[in-house]
Amino acid sequence: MKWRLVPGWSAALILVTEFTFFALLLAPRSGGPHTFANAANVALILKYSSIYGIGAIGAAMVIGAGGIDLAPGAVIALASVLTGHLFIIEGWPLWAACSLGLAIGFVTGGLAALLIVGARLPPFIATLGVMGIARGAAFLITEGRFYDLSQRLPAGTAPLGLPLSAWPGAVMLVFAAVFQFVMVRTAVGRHILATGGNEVAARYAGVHVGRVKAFVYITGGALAALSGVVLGVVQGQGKADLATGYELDIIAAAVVGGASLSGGRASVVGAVIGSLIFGVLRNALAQIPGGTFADRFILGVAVLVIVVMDRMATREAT
Amino acid sequence: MILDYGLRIADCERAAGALVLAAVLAGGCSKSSDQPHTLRFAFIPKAVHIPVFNYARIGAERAAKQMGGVEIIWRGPESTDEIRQKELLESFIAQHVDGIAISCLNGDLLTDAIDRAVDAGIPVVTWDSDAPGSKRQAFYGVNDIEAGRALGDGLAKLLNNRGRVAIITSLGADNLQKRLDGAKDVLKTYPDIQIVEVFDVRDDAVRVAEVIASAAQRYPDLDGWLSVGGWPVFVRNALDPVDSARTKVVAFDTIPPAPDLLRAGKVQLLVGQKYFGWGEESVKLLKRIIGGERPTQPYQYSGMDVVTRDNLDAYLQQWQRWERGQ
Amino acid sequence: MSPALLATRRLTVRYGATAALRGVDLDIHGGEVHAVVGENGAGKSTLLRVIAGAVLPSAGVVHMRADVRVAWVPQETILPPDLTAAAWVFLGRELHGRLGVLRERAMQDGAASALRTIGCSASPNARLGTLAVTQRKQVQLARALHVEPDLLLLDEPTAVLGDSEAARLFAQVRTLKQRGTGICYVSHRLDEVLAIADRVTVLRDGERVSTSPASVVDVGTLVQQMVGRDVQPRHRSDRSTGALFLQLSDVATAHVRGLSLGVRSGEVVGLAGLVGAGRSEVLEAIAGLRPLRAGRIACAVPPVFVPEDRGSKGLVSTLGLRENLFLPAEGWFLHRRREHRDAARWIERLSIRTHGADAAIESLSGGNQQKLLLARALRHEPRLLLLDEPTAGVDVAAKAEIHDLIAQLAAGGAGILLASSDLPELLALCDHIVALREGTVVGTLAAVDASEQRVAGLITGAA
Repeated sequence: MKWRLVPGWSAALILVTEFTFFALLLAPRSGGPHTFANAANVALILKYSSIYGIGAIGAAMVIGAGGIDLAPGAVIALASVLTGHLFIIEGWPLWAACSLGLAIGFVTGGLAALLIVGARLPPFIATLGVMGIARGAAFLITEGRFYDLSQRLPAGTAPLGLPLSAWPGAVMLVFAAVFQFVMVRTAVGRHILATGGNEVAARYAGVHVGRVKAFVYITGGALAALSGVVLGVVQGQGKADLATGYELDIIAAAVVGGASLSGGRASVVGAVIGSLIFGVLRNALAQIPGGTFADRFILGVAVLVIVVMDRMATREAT
Repeated sequence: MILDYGLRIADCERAAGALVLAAVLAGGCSKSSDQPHTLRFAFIPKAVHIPVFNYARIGAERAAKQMGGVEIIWRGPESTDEIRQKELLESFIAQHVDGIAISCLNGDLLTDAIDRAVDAGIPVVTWDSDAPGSKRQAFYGVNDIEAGRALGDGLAKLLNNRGRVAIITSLGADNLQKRLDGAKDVLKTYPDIQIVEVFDVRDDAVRVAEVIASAAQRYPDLDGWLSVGGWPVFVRNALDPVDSARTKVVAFDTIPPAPDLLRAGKVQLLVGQKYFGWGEESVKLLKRIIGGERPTQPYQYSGMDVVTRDNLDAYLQQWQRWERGQ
Repeated sequence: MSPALLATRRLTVRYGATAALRGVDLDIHGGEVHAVVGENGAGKSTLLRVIAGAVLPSAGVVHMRADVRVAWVPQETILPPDLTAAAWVFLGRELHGRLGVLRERAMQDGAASALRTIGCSASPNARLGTLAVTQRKQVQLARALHVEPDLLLLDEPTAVLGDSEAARLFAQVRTLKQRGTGICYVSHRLDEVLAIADRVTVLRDGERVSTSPASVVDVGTLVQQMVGRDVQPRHRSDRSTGALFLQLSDVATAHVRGLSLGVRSGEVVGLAGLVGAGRSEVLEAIAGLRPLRAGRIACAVPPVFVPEDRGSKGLVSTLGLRENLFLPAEGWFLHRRREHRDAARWIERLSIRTHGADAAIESLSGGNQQKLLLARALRHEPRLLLLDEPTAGVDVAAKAEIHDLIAQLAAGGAGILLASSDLPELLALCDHIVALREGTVVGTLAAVDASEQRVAGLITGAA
């Protein structure tokens, strides 16, 4: 069977190996239930990984198109704050508040698209600006307070029959499937990777690179906002300083999942798996005896090791 | 070449699959035994880098050693990330630890997780910063409202009941909010004392230096500073822009280098908490709750220490006794 | 002849399932020009890559003394756009003073002298991204010569050079030969090869077919050995022309002014000119990829554009063959099976040598990449085709195939605007040739009146 090393497959292998490693390492010595490899813990990992995972779907597409987005953390916060404000202060019904919270992602994404495609700013600078504006807007709305959505959400709320704590994971998996399909089976997906691989050649071939870029930044913003809305509703809090710095974890998840920062290569499924890889690591570290001081250090080393291994695996002998 | 590597990948996946299967079987096959096992208590501070909590850890580990049969798992978020703290809390619930002691970054956010822990049979005590709406069995810490009042009264006395003051706080945490309320209530009773501004330093000891420096520009005739947290006295030079002859400072927490600043006259009054007690008492409370003894009322106030230059030496001697465990 | 600088024995290189070289024995002596010729995909570039050390052989050996200085000028002219020409000439061998501070001035002067020797008009401080393809090639050559190599490897050096630039290069090659340098010269231009080489080796399908002194072979023999059969040179046949498909009126772009021309259905119009004359700009402007500074462009039918420099402007190397072929994809969804089928048809129709429809772009030789680019254009069944250097770095047989294709398209009623620096190509294919020099039209010749000399004279201003 001919095997092309598709980006994302090596990430899956790493995830499986990692989980198994920790399952063995943390196996209970003297009887008792397994504290790591049980259904409740896996659900926990899924729930917390999706905070980054939903945003990583967007990041994979942006990076695939040859760009980069630094705004997701701020947009997550802004969306959670907006949803909270409308739901608690203005008394809107939940679905309406969530819809507007999601819509703000289209706005920030649209702003990024305008700056990058229209004003031709480098994506790093443009999204840095959007990040500042979004974070600032969140603080302006809240004036330092936070919105407690749990006041109006009775315990046991289960929209569409699914308990709240299952929503983040479900949303991540659904949208991962949707955008994986887009990237692999639609013209838009091919155009995104062509734009990232060689923008000039793509343009000369007739691809509307401006539209492609606008699409990825707007979608990225919308997905970040979605993550923020879900976070706010599920955790019950809308705060302006949420998700600070999360954009770097989101980008790391996408890169670990096979996205190449030089553009032209990315995998949505890989990005989600990347966020799970980090989620498993964070969860497992909390169970290993010893201080948490090592956590950040270990995560940094892990990123390097995984990316190096991945690059070695995808390079053919020359 | 690609074909070769492809086969190797497939091999690895098969091996990994076998390992997973083995692990699951191994996990399922282990039976619980009847031996008394060590009690595992999870301690979750607001963040691991906040120095004041180190003393809590010392106290907790000492109490655990004295008691025997207790293991302290000290774990906190690397930054004051509320979501991360909640993630840790939920992880400990999934690990079925025997007790949880937590200082809450955001009590409201943690309430439903704490309730789930209690419902699952894991006793929870909060220390330093509470989650008042939750099912936690006890809270050990200073009575924040009274502490705030002590700060307010102390500052008023230093200013002879008149002057313009600025307040430093950090929004979000329940304990800080209570202290702020206590301080403001007291200051309101002095008609000649005016609060010009309340600054939010977002729990950042670096930001406080910035805030104090810029306020010194904005309010050159400021008479007093009141900080409900220890940020101005956690570092040596945050209070440098303050003219100590003219402006009086009262702050929270007595851990180093605060005593030196008190001695040097940069700060005039400090309210100290029972830092070692956070750890010690929480361990004792958890043990008692496991033993079936539930405190009659959740608020276990620790009492506080009001320290000025006059009683500083006596306080430091007492501190050394606490360090030795007496 | 001096002893061999380099000898290969049973050299084999495999890329996946394809063998690019199979058991090749070759030696190069100091003081000789040893040319290597062959069809598309015969393995010529791969051979140079192995000698240069960029590729490891799968089997066989390369004997070379460790102290032999090798300079390699690859076929591609893709260089980092933000480096200056001087920086590239000195890259890795920068001149610096005691504290490691770069001696910029000395390097500029050194580079200026090297560029002058090779006949390049670019300034040493020019950023490589601003230079045209020919000048970039000259910068590459200047760097190679500056190294004062014992062994010089040239891969299609004249593909993007005009006649006078090529002449300068040959003069330098002869100088090096006299100094004892060994030169391995890969090219499709057989006349050139026979003029400059001492020995010629023919590769076919990765194997060495023959090595002969240049004096005993002619173009016909070489072609026969390269292809394995007899190949007839092409003749341009008469065509009738019809409706006006393209009209440029007094068009101006960044480097061109006052350009007026028309292309009719069934007609092939050539744009001749040296580097920097602005031909590519004009085509890009017609295709709508570049703004016009003045004038009007009227297209009666939508133009399809095939850019020059297929590596950087044509193909996306992170995508495979099929994905490059169907770019942009039509409709909303991708139809993988249909694309596979159609790709197979195109591969066959244009004789693209590849191991499959999903081949990586870098597994295709230059000529096959060019055919892929053409296939992409032909998918649109163009009535108006804009071609920029369609046979740069492509060998005799493939070139003939592409010329046939162009003639067929014209016979079928398409209008074609062809920008090329290959004068014989223009003469063979075009009905009219528009000659540009320094941005203005210096003459329009009908095919019957044109000759290589006349056109060359117009574009260089020599006549």
